[in-house]
Amino acid sequence: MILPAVIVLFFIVIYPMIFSFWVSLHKWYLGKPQFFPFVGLRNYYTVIFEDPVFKISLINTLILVSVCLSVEFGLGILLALLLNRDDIKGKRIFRSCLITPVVLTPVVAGVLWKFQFHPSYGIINYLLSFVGVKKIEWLADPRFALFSIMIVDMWQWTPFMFLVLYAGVISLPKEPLEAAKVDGASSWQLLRYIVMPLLVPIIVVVLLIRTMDIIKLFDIVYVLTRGGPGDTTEVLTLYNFRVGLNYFYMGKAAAISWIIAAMVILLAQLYLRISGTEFYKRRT
Amino acid sequence: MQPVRYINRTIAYIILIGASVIALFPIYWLFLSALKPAKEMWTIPPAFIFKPDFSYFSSVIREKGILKYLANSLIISSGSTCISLFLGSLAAYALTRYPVKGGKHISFWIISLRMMPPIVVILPLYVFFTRLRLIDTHIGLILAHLTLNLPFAVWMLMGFFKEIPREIDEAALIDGCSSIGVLFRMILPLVSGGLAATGVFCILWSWNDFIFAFSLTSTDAATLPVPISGFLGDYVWEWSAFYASGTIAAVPIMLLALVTQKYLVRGMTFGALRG
Repeated sequence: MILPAVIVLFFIVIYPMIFSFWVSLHKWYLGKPQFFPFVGLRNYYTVIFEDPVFKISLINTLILVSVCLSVEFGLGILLALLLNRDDIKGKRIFRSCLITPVVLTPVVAGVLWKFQFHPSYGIINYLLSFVGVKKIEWLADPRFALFSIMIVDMWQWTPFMFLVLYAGVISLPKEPLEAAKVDGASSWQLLRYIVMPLLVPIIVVVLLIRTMDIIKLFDIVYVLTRGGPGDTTEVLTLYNFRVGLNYFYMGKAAAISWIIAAMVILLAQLYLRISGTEFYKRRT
Repeated sequence: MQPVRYINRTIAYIILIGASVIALFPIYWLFLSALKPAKEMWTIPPAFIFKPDFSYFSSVIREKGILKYLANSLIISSGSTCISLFLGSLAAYALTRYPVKGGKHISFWIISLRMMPPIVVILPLYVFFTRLRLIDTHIGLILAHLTLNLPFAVWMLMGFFKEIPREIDEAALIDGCSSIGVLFRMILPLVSGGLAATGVFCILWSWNDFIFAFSLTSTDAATLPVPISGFLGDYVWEWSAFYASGTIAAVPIMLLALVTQKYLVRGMTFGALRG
């Protein structure tokens, strides 16, 4: 009974991936599809050592991962802990409000924010004008373009971080917390020595999922800046897409996609190890 | 009540309300602008009270053919969801109920496929689909979305199936039910909630997907995000078309998500966490 699913997956995922690896070892320009010389690891070497745009997109992706993840995690845990307070009412309403950005179609979210980033008519510059900030060209200024993308990502995914962490916080076992309270621990000590250590597996899992998501980030960057101005907001998946389906250098594109895949496979293995451990299962 | 505690509580409320406002404001803005008359669209400060105007919806349907894209979105998301649920429940049933050789490896391998970056399969699929003439067809995009949805469905359903005690299967088998019968008559009705939740997530990913649709379709089979991404071009901003079609894309998926709130965390963490 597993067979139908495995066969389908073989034809739509496994076989294409093997084919793509085979392509990555060749020089293949779709404009001249008959010319298909074997070049070994040459494509990988070119991409890693000789391609300045790949380097930019890798750095941008790493910046996005580190900045977005730290802000999203910080805000997410803050909101989760605040909502978990006993004296807060309307928990369900707050939770529902915060869920909505997560399910909004990313393309719609991107275009929606593109309006708000408009230098003359956008609401962001309008609000900033009250504190005396002059018009900022959010998407056209290389100093702000990547930052604008971060804002959209944070807007959409901080709520996700919150949801997951909140689910973790409310399922914490009560006994150690009670015991520590009886022993006279302050709320900071409770957080530092009891809550956070118990949350570690969940935190690691959610950070890994988000890291993989940002490596795959495509829609909002495409909609907001298309990698511009210049190459300043180029990210891995967008660059990969461009090399393959705009310039049709399939061999090189396949090599880039395998480099991205290698990063993700590594993270996915970590994710599976951690989410599969007994410690983790007991906690959820 | 101690004053410090009172102040803390107030601060907590302020932060939570602030966060909710920031989360909801752009979505509120989307719905508001879809109904806002053109002459009040660009006023600064923005107009919040006005007479609603439904003309954008009718013009986006007439001029941009948005109903076709809406139909494509519906066909493709429901198609890939149905196939994923059917094949997924067969596979999940076998993997949770029978000692399949290397079953643990197969299930790990399946969920690893879900996490694979789409671009890795898009490039070869583009080449194959061009040869097979599947570019810009519904079947092509449904197949492409199966690469996301099928592994996900197998993995999620395995989690739900594991929660059903084995004794139920055994009782049904003794009463003369075939193993396929056990799955369709006993297990699936029992996990109907889980099945629905898995289905909603498959729909969500298919509906919200942009990279597959953008790479593998152009007009005939394109889903809503494809035309929406083009309304704000480098030269022309078709804002009225965007607000109306953005609302059409956003509303159904938000309603679905509200219905399955309970499973949201579980689905989005691939079953790693019960929400």
